[in-house]
Amino acid sequence: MRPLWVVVAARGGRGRGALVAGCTAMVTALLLVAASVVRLGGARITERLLAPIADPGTRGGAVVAIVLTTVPLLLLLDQAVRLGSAGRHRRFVALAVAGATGRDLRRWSAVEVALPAALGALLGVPVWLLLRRLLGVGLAARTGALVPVSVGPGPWAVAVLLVVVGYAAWVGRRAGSRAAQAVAGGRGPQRPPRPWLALGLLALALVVGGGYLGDLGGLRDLVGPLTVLLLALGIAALSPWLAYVAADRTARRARSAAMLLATRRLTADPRQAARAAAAVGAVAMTAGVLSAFVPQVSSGSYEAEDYLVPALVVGVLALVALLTIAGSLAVHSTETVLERRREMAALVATGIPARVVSDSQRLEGLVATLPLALLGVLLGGYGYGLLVHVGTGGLLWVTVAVPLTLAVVYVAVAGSTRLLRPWLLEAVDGASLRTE
Amino acid sequence: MTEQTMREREPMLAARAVHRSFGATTALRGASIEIGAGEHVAITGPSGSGKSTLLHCLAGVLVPDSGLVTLDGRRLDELSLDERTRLRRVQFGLVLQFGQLVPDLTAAENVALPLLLERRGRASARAAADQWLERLGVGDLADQRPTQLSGGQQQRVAIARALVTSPRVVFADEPTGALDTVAGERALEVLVSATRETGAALVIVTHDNRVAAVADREVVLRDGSTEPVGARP
Amino acid sequence: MGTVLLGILAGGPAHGYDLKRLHDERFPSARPLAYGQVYSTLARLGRDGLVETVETTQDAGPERTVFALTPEGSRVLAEWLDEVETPGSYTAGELLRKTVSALHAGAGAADFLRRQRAAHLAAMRVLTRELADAPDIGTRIALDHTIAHLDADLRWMEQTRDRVNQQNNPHHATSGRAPDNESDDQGEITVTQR
Repeated sequence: MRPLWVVVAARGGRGRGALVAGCTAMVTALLLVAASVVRLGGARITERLLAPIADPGTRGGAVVAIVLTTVPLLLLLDQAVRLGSAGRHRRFVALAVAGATGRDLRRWSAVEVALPAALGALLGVPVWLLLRRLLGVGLAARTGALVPVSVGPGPWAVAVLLVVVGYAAWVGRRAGSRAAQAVAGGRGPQRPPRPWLALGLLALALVVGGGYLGDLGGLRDLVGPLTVLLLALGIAALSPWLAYVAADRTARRARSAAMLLATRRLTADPRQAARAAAAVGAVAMTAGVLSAFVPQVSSGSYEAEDYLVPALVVGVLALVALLTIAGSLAVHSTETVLERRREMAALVATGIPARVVSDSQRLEGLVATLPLALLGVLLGGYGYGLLVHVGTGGLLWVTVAVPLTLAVVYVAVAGSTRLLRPWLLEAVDGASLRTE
Repeated sequence: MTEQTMREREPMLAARAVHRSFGATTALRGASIEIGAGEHVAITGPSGSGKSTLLHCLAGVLVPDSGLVTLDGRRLDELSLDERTRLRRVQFGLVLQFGQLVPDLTAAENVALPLLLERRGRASARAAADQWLERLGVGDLADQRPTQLSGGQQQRVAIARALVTSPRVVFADEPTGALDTVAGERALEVLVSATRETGAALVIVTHDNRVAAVADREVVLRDGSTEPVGARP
Repeated sequence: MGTVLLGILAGGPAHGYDLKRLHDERFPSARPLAYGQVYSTLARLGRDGLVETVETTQDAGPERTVFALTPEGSRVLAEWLDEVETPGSYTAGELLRKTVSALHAGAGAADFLRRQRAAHLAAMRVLTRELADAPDIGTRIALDHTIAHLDADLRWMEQTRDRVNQQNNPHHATSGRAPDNESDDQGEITVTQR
């Protein structure tokens, strides 16, 4: 007989396992790249690297940027773990009845995710090698490598693998504890999120950022990336509160059924959407920075090409990240509908059109992401622009970028909701009302 | 109202020879039923006989595979999806056994939902919702969420939502099935009296004889078809 | 009758006419008590030492005697309540006899059950309406009792129908979800001769 934990883990579902493995593979590869960049250290650089990576002044920022690109993937991982939660709930109820304790359920859930994650992490090594080939050796001849070839992550590789698998296990454990709570009889009303931690982080970011203006000597290089990191963490921590407040205020004024459904859904469970919104905020901030950076770099004294290409790469990555995030948001809201298909089918049966339910999904995504996107693009654009004295021309570009960014976010969110509409329509069909 | 008098007038709502399957399972095979304006009819039969499916076909939630459902002589399957949805919203009311209130919305918001879609202003919709909740004895629960209410209270909120648009027909599918005797009795009482007051017809699906006894007459479903009317009045 | 009065007196001493009033309130479906019956029963109970007179006032009016329970009376009452009522044997009533006969008569049994059901349901309907208008709990309890029995009869008739069907068509599911056969099964019941 196989040990019980193997049986339980194996039931996790192949699609979900594949998605988890895929995400962790990419995350591992990216972190290995970041580690390689860090290890370039102070040594003389023999290869031809892209300017932001070669230049020790901007290297820190580059590392942060690479790490940040893992965020949409982590979001997708989180979403993948939540997939099929209705089935998992049933399984856990059966296991609990058979005598499993909460601790058992959490442990099994962690293992259920950690196993494919470990596989994915190991796969991350060949993926990193592939990236090294494509974006390292391949690019070196032309513009300069994105991925260092002469230096690898070294001993950091082990740390990266452990961190990735550990994180995945933690996410799995959290999902298990949620399911265990649901089995034990529901969570009860959740407390609304509070802004204090976030505000603290943002204040800290300002303090550190202020150091940029002062004279810190050797530490100066750290200030930039640290500020960015703190800002990013601050905004991420602020997002649940922001999403809750935005939804709550809008709910009180909601005039249409779709808006009412969307905003109340958000106030009931802001955290998941808020995570996606934070990531959107980060993407928007990148867009803002780019909108100031590009004109700055194109004007005059810089080796434009050295910086424009990475800027383009960043732009493309940001767009891809946005699409991934919007996709994960849409999957999340469709999952929610599928979880309560009976209530939704009953709603449609009483005469609320399915269209309204679909609209409410779209609005839910927009109410969550647009405020943070606005905040992000303003902070990134004007923040960076003012910091590096980009001039009125640059600030004009930023002002154009703001509505443009918001428009792109709108299209991404609306588009991904639209793509998942067939699943929604199936869930609310009258046949879902059958009890047998 | 005897069967004879029923047949002499055009029924308001009628299903004729309705067939409906779900995959390999045939739920209805040639069921027929007529409902007059303001009539209270119980649809009874053993479990699995297709009662709920017949109700859903009558209410325009499902389209039959064959046969027709007519309201005032007009075929429901000739309506567009939007028209049918609007019909369900305005002219019909639906009460299920459980799981029909949106858990994120308060009781009042749940009741006001159909009105918001009819382009009633927020304040007006809220006022109507409060009025109906009051009428059904749960006015003080207007700002609570469904999870904070007992089963009986939830049913009364659901009944309020079904009645808020002053429908012509209220459909109830085992409305007391998930409730204890006392709560069930009260919910049923409220349903019957409210529909009598507004003159709405009531179609109740039930397997409980005592629930069937509150209706004016019953239609028995067996194995997906309705038993022929043979009783002497 | 005696124990019923003892039960009413357990609520406290009462006059004779109070006892009649309280009795009629508690048991609205029974025949209203006559005063004569009350007093003769009280006399008997008094002789047996189960009740006693506690007060006899005689103002300008009829004699008003107040009766009360004696300790012995309390004991007898407690004993009565302690005894469990023998559950009804419910042996062959007319309904059972007619139903079984109809089933063995073959064709037409389904029709009989249909008509009987309609009659039972009609009776339930009337009683349910009365229940809604019931003025007090005593009436409700009595109506509930009758309705519950009618319901029991209806469920038994349905069950009997299923049993007979099952016996005649052992492969036919009785839960209503018939396999796809082309029978025009309208619920005809046939009983084979054993």
